[in-house]
Amino acid sequence: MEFAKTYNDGHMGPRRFWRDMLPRLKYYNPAIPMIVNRKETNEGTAVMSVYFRKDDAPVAAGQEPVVRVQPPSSAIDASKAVDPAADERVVKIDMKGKPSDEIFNHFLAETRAQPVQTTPEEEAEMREVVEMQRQGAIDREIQRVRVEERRRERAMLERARTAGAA
Amino acid sequence: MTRPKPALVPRFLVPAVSHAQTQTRGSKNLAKMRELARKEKKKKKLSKEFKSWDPTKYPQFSLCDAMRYLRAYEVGRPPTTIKYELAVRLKTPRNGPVIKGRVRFPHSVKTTDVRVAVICPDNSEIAQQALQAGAVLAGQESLFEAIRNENITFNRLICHTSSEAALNKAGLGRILGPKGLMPNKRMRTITDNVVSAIRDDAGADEYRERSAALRIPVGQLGFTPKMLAANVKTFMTSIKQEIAKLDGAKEIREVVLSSSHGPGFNLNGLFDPTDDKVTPEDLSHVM
Repeated sequence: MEFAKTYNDGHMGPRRFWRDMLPRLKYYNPAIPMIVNRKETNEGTAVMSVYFRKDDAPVAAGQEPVVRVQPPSSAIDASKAVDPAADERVVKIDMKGKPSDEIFNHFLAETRAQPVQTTPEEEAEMREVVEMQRQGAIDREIQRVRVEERRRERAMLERARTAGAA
Repeated sequence: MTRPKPALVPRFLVPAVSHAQTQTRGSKNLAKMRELARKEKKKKKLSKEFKSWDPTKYPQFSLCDAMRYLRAYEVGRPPTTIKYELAVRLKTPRNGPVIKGRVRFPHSVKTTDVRVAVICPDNSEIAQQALQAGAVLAGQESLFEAIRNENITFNRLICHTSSEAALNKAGLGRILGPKGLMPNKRMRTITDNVVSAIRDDAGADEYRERSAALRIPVGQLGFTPKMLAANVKTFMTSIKQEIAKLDGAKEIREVVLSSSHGPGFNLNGLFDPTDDKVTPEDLSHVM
């Protein structure tokens, strides 16, 4: 992926895609390198290059496996998208000016990726989290009232102290 | 800028009646205030030990699992600037000695190079040895002159014992102090074995206990699980040696791995991933 560091000129979608969606993709596909190249200028393009291995070119016996050169991610525009190796084809997705979910749908269509299904345990856990957040909001309100009460008392005391000193 | 002060009225100008009133009201409240203050003081008494929790009550992770999460959190970040960090929480009393030491990792975490300068008599044998061991500068008066001119091309400064008096005389503390370069005996930067000190500095990291925890960067994001495991192991043995010196005053409670932008993961001391579809090799690719 290649896009600018700030959001002007249609670079917001790619940024949100990177911050919100890429971590999940990376967690479920730890073996796939995902390189992000961020640059200073916003005028340029925002492109995602997806590299696929060609299925119709199986590695022949005795043939050297293709050397893949991959630059590490960079925040200073130091890792441009490389040309595909001999057994690869590349699909470019233009991300400029698109919201992150549109980019994601495009990406899904290109890769024909299988979405991960949530298990019942995970669903239960999610419900627990929602419940905890709900309870948290209630508890926070109670605490807020208490803290304010305490603050009011302290302010009163402070006023009494200054009056006493005068 | 000075704050505007409230206009002060001399006491004798205040009307007598209101004066008396404020006096009595104030004294009543004063007694109340003192009582409240006493109560507050009682509440704030600290326990003798730092609070510590039982880490096994909460989810714990193997090293590869923690790395999988952290690599997902740090996806798309430059792999040499982002660091894995380790926090070791101790069971320890609030007062008493703190753990302090240095550790030399098998895989260096630092990306910046270390440039050492050595203060020792000019053109001496020590200066020769120091330069051979990798120091960028070695000398006495020439080095002092460079420091006075703020021409500092090094980021470590070591002093030989024979030059200690000259260093103190030169009065460079005002320049070197804020930069953290001033040599002193406690940090072992005033030493009579300059060569070994340079070698220590080149790859050693310092750690120090603060509020019952030791925190140190243990690896770069680009490290493989094996490299990170080696570094964590080295650090833990180093701490254990330091703790053994204190005869049971302290013990290790929990070990937490995190990264520059990631959350903390409580480690359980195991290495292999729990998900059998993921291998340690999968966590070794470029980021």
